[in-house]
Amino acid sequence: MRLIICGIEYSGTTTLATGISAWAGSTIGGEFPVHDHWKFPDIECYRSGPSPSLSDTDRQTMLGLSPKLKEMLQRQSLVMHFGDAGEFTDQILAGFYLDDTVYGPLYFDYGGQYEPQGGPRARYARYVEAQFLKRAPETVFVYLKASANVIKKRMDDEQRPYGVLKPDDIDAVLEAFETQAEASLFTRKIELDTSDSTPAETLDQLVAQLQPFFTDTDRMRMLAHKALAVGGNQ
Amino acid sequence: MRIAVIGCEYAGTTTLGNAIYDWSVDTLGRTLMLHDHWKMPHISGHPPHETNLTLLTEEEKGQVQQASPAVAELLMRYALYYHTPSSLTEDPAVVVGYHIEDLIYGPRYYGYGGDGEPGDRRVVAAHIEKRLAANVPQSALVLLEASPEVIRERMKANPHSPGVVPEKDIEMVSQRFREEYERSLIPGKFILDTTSATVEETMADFIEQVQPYLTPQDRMGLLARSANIGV
Repeated sequence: MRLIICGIEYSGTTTLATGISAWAGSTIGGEFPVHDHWKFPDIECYRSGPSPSLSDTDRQTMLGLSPKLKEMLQRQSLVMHFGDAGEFTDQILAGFYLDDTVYGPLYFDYGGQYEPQGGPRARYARYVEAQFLKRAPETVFVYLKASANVIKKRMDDEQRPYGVLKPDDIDAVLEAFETQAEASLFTRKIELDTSDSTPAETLDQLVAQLQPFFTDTDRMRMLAHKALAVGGNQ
Repeated sequence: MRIAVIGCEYAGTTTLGNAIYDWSVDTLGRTLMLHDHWKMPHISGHPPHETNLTLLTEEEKGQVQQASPAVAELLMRYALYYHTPSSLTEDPAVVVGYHIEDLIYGPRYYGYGGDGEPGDRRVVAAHIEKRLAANVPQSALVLLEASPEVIRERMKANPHSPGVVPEKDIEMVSQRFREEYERSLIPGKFILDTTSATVEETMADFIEQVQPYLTPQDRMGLLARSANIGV
């Protein structure tokens, strides 16, 4: 199962990614690691071995890097997560390329119209999608949104020390994500509005809407997991 | 053709990389990517074959040099994966230094990637080579060697700014490259000794030994160029 869960900060991408990961583990079996590291300065990813977080000093270093270095890091990190062609992998990517597409030009001064590396991020986003469609056509794109008022309230209720979104930009960022979601090349799309839903309700909605998108392999794994659990093997 | 050129600093890896680039354009008719950006702080851009838009400014080099091992580790590891094809490709490339250089220099000089540490370079190198085997099976690894005395002479005559390998480490680093060359799972390998060879002589040796690793596209380019069709 491959999911890309995107949306404005505070729309619930991290919560939903964590929730669907746990659901998949208990329903399909196995581990479904969440990659949710696309907002500067928290962009570290460790594929094996210990997975420490960056220290505050390292985070300040990250934020102090030039736009050119920030762009390079994010682009290389995006490509690193394309996965190996033909290799079976479960992936849950939260934020991922649309965080980069929207926040790069707005807050980190790269990826604009004259970006020398890969061109404007709005165009690079389509390249990323094309790569996934070629390598992993089963990928499901999940777009989360919430009303501006709800985003503002969540932001007020939970201040994040390294939050990206600025209150004055909520409307513009919502619009930018909407534009990108509409332009997306993915055909296996799910859109969820979390304005009036609890995290559990949103998770239920996602699971329901994922049903037509589960692959035969996903279904076989669910059957096997269930059968083995009944047999007392798991 | 995808070639990884490794060796102790001053063994001639950059010089050979540039010579291979020119030979590929002139003889094979193929413009390859030359990636020679694996020594801190020179981690971006492709001189001398690219505009300077992607080269780091002095200020940016300073940021890289001052980065903590944790940040430097990320900068390098993301670049390693980015430059390793994750699907079948025949795009030609020469990568100077690459994962083996980072495996040797990272833990010793940059403070990251040791055994069991985040971004353990032994694990990363194994993954990189697994990917190469799957996606660029015609890869070849070239180890450049030179005697420690000659490395010292070159170091004094043309010191890099900043250099990586201190003079006292030349023997040890040369030995480490030999060990990692032998350990590497890249099936195509050969060694060139630049101790007393000119660039032209080293390049002639390279051309002779690289023949088994030329792809069908390389060979078609070679044939087309040698036929002088239309002349």
